[in-house]
Amino acid sequence: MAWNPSLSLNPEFVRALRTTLPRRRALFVAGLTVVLLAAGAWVVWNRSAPPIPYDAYRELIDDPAHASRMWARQVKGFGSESYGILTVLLFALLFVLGPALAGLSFVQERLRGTAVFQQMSLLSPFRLAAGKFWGAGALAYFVALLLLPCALAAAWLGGVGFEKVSRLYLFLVVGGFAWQALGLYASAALCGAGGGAPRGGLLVGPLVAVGGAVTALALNQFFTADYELMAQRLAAYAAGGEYTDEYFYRSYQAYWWHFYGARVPAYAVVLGLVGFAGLWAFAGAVRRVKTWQLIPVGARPAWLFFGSACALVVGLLWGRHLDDSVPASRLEVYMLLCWGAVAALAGDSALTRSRLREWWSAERDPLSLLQRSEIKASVTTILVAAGCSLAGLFALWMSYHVDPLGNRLEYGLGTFLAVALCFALTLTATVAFVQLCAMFRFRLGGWAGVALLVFVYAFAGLAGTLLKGEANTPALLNPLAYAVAVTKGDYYLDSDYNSLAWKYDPAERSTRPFVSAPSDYTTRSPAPYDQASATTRGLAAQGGFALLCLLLATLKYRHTRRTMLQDPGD
Amino acid sequence: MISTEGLTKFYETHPAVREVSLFVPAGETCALVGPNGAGKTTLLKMLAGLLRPTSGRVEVAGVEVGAEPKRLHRIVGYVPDTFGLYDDLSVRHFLEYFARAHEVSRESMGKRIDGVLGLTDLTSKRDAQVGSLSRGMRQRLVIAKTLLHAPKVLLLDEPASGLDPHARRELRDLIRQLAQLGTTILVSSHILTELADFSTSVIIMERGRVARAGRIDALVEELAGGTPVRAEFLEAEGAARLAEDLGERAGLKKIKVEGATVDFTFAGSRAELAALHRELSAAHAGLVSFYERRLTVEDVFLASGRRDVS
Repeated sequence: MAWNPSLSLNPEFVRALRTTLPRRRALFVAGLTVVLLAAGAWVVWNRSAPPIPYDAYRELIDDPAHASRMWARQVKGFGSESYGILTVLLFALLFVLGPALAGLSFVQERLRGTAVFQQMSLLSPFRLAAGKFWGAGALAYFVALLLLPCALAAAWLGGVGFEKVSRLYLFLVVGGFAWQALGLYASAALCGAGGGAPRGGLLVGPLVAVGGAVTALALNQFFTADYELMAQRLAAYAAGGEYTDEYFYRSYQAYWWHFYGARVPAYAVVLGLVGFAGLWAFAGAVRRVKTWQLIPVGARPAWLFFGSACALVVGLLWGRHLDDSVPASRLEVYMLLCWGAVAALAGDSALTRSRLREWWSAERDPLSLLQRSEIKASVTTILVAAGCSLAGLFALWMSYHVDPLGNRLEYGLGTFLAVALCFALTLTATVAFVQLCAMFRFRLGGWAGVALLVFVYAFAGLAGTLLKGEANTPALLNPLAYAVAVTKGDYYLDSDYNSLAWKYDPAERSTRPFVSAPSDYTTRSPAPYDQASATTRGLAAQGGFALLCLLLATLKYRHTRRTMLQDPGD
Repeated sequence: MISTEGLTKFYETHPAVREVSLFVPAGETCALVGPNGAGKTTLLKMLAGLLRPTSGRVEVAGVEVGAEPKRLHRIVGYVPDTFGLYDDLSVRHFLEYFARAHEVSRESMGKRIDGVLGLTDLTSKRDAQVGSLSRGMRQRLVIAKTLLHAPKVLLLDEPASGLDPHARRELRDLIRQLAQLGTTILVSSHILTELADFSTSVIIMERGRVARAGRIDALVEELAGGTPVRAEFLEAEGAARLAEDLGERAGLKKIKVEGATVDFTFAGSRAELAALHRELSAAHAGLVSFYERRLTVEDVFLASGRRDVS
C-alpha cells in the first residue's frame, strides 16, 4: 500500500473526519466562511465609519490631520467590534457546536447500528474515546482555525491587550475541550452496555450545547476583567489614600479567590476547575467505553477521582479570609457537594435486580468471579467516597479553627463529632435508601432513590422552616440544617470577618467606608434554643432514618433473594 | 472450539437463555435454529463477548469470554442481525477503518482488503459509497469487514434476512467458501431452508434452552436408527405395494407412504442396501428411483418433533 498519512492517525478520528468533513464539504465550509467573513467585515467597517458631517463643518473634516484621526478611530472601532463578534463566534464553535457533536458521538453509533462493530473493535477505549473526541470537534476546530487569525488581527487593530486576549482564549480552549469531554462522557454513559438505542439520546447534544453556552456566558467575566486595574484600586483602598467605594470594593474582592489559603485570581481557579472537570470527564468517558466493551474496570480511578475532587473542594473552601462567607455556610456547601457525589455514585452502582441475580449466581457459580469482583469494587468505592468526604470535612473544620488572629485555641471537637456523625448517618441512609429503591422495579433503578431522597431532604428542610422554632426535629433531619443549627453563634464557624468598616467624616459630615484590618471575628447572633438538645434530637432523627432505611433495604434484599431463588424466572 | 457451560442470561426478570451447555468443534458449520425469541441472538452475543452472561461460562478457541474481551475479539467475527454502516464512507475507506481497528498491519492491509473484496464479490464496488450499495451488497460488505482480521470463529446472526433469493444464494456460496477455508461458523436462522444446504451440525433452541445439538448425520442416525432411503414409483399403487412388501422384511423401520413415494429407514450396511435395491427393482416394476436420502437440518428439526419454524 502506498504511503498514506491517514494511516498514522487515530483510525476513529480519520473515520469521523471522513464522515463529517470530507474534502468537498471542507472546501465548501472554508469558502462559505471566507465569504461570510468578508461580508461581515464590510458591514462592520461601514458601521465603524464616523458620521457624515454637515456641510458647515466640511472644511474642518477635510483637514488631513483630522481625516487621519477619523481613519484611526474607524480602524480601532472596526478592530474592537470585529474582535468581539469573532470571539463570540469562536465561543459558539468551541462551547456549543463541538460539545453538541461530542454529545451525539456514541449515541449516533447506537442509533445508526454501528455501535456493535465498535464494541468488537480492538481499538483501546482510550484511542476510541480520543478519536471520537477529536473527530466530533473536527468541524468546529476547522472553522475556528479559519476565524482565529482574523480574531487576533482584529484584537490587534482594536488595541485589545495581549494579556486579556490570551487569558480569554485560554478559557476558550480549556473550557471548550472540557465541555466537549463532558459531552463525550454523557454520550458514552447514555449508551451503556445495552443493545438498544438510548431513549431520548438525541437530546444529549442540545443539552450539552446549552450547558456550554451557559458556562461561557457565566464565566467569561472572570477572563475579561481588568485584574491589573482592580489590584491597583484595592491597594489604594487598603492604603486609605482614596475614597473607598463599597460597591467597587466588594466587586473587586469577588475576583480574588483562595486556594488552601493562597490568594489567587478567580480566572486561574475557574480555569483549573474547568480543566479538572474536563480531564475527569474524558477519563470517565474512557471508563464508560471500557464498560461498554465489557472490559473489567478497576476501582482505583474512581477512588482517585473522589480523593482529588475532595482535595479540590477543600482547597477552595479552606480557612478564614477577609470578606469570605461564614464558615458554617461553606461547610454546608461542602456537605451538599459530597452528598450529591455519594448519592450519584450510589445511584449509578446500585445493585438492581439483574445485578443481584449475577451476584447470587456468582455464589453458586465459581466461574462468575468477574461480576462478584465488580460488585465488590462498587461497594468499596462508595466507602472510599464516604471516607474522603469525612476526611475533607475534618480538614475544613480544622482550617476554620486555626485562628489566623491567634486569639483562641479551641477546636470544638465535640461539635465536629456531632456534625461528622450526622453526615455519616446521612450518607448511610442515602446508600441504603438508594439500594432499597434499586431492588424495586423502578425504570430508573437506583436513580429513583436519589430523586426521592432529594425530595425527602428538601421536604424535611421546608417542613422544618414552616414549623415553629429554628431547630425543630424535622428540620434537623436535613444534615445542612443540622450543621447550621449546632454551630449557631459559634465563634469560629458562625462569625463575620469583614475588612470594610464605616467611619464618620466630620469634614463631610457623613459616614464613609474604609478598609480596616479587623483584629477579631464578629460572632453572629447566639442560638435562641438549647443547642445540646438540638444536637441530640438531630442525631436521633438522623440515626432513626438511617436505621429505618437499612432495615427496609435488608428486608427487601432478603425478600428479593428468596423470591428469585424460589422462582429463577421471576 | 466453542464451548459453553450452564450459560444463562436474564434480561431483568425475563430469562432469554437458560443453562445452555454445548460444544461446537473446530471447522464445523453449525446451524443455530429455533423460533423467534428462542434466545439465538442472545446466545450469539454472549459468544461474541458483547453481552455479559448472568451466570455460566463461555470459552471460544480457548479464550474465556468476559475475562479477556480483546483477545476474544481477535479470533471472533460477528455479523449481527440488524446493523448500520457508515454510509458516507467509500467501501475502501470503510474496510480500511476496520482493518486498522482490528490491528491489521499496514503492509498486509491492502492485500487483505483486496482479498475480502474478492471473496465477497465486491471488488467492482471498491470506490463506491457505502450508502449506494444494495441490501445484499451491504450484507456482504459486513461479512467482508468481519473477515478482515481472519477470525477463527464466525458468528452470523440471521445473515439472510431481508435478502432477495439471488442474494441468499450468493450468501450461501460465500458461507460454503468460508467453511472450506476452515473457519468455524455458527449461523443462526429461523428459516430452515437457508441452513439446510451447508450445515454440518445443528443446535436447536427453544425458549432459551437447547432442545437438541450435535452433528446432523449423528443426530439423524440417532433419531432415524439407520439410513434413510426413498423409493419413488410411477403410481401411488406401486408405492403402497412396496410398503406392504417392506413391512414384511426385517431391519426396516419407519416406513411412510406419501403419494407415489415411500420413505423408510434401513438398518444395515451399504452392500445390504444395494442387494435390497436389486431385489425390489426386480419385484416392483413401477420403481422409478431408489436412493439414500440426503438429510438436512429440516429433517433433524422435524425429527425433534418441533414444527413451529418455517
